[in-house]
Amino acid sequence: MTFEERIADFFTFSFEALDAPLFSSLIVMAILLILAIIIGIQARRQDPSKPSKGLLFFVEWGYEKLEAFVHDTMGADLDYYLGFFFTAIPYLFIAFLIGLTGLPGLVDWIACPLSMAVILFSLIHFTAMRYQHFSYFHRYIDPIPIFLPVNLVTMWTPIISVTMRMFGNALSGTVIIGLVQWALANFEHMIFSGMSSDMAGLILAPIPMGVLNLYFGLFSAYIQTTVYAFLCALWISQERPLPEEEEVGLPDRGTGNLALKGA
Amino acid sequence: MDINLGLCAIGAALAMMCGNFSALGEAWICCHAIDGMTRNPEMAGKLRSTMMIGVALTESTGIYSLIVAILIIFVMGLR
Repeated sequence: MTFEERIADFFTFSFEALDAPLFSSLIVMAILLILAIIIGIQARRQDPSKPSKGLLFFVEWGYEKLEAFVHDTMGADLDYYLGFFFTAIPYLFIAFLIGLTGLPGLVDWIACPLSMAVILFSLIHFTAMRYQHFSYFHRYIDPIPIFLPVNLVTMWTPIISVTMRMFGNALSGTVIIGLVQWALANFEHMIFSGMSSDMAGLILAPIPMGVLNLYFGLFSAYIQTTVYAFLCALWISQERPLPEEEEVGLPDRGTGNLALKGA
Repeated sequence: MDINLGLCAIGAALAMMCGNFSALGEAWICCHAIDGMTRNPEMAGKLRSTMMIGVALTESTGIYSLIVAILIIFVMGLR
C-alpha cells in the first residue's frame, strides 16, 4: 500500500474489515445494558420493607460482596471505584463465557484483554496523579535519577502481564479444546469407521468436551476475573497515600527522609 | 522432514519446560496454605482465597511460556 492508500484506508469504514469478536463484545455490552435496565426497573418498584426476590436478590448479594471487597482492599475513601468494578467484573466474566454459546471467543482476541489492561494502567496513573500531584513524577527517578530509562520501560509491565495472563489462559483453553476435538474426531473415525460421519461425532466427544469447556470456561473465568479485580484494587489503592503518610507528607524517596508538612 | 520444523519443535519443548517451575511454585503455595489451614482452621476461607490469587499469579509465567511455544509452532514452524 502506498502512503496515500494507507491514509484513504484509515478513513474508510467497511464491515468486512471488522473482527468478529468485536461483535461478541458488543453483544456482551448489550446483555449487560439490558440487565442493568431490568434491574433498575425492578429496584425502583421494589418495596424496601419486603425482601427482594429473583434477579434483584442476586444483584443485591453481589453488590454487598463487592462493596465489602472494595472497602477491605481499597479503603472507604476509594469506594467510588465500586461502579468500575461492577462494570468490569461482569463484562470480563461474560466475555470468558461467550465462546460457549457459539459466538466468536472474546478473551482469546488480544484486543479485549489489552483493553482491560490499558484501562487498569490508566486508572493507576490517574489515581496516582490525583492523590500525589507533582510527587507522581518521583517514581521515574526512584531510587536515583539514572534509573529513569529503566523505570520508563518497567512502567508498562502491568499492561503486558495482565494482557498475557488473561489472553494466555483463554488461548490455551481454545488450543487444548481444539486439539482434543481433533484427536477425538480421528479416534472416533478409527473406531466407528462403519458409521456415518454424522453419528460418529456424537459418541466420544460430548463428555470430554463438556468437562473441558466447564474448566476452561467457567473455572478459568472465575479465577481470572478474581485475579483482575484483586490486581486492580491493590495497584490502584497503592497510589493513594496512607492516612499516616498524608499527615507527615510523602517520604522523600531519594534520601529516605520524611518531608514534614509545615516544618 | 524439514529440519527447521524439528528445531521449532525442540524450541517449543524447551519453552514449555518453564511450566515445571510454575508447577513447583504453585505446589509450594498450596503446601503452605494447607499448613496454615490446619494450624488455624477458622482462617481457612481467607487463606483459600489468598492461595487462589497466588496460584493464578504464579501460573501466569507458565502461560507466558505456553504463548511462546504456540508462537514458535504456529508462526515459525508452519511458515
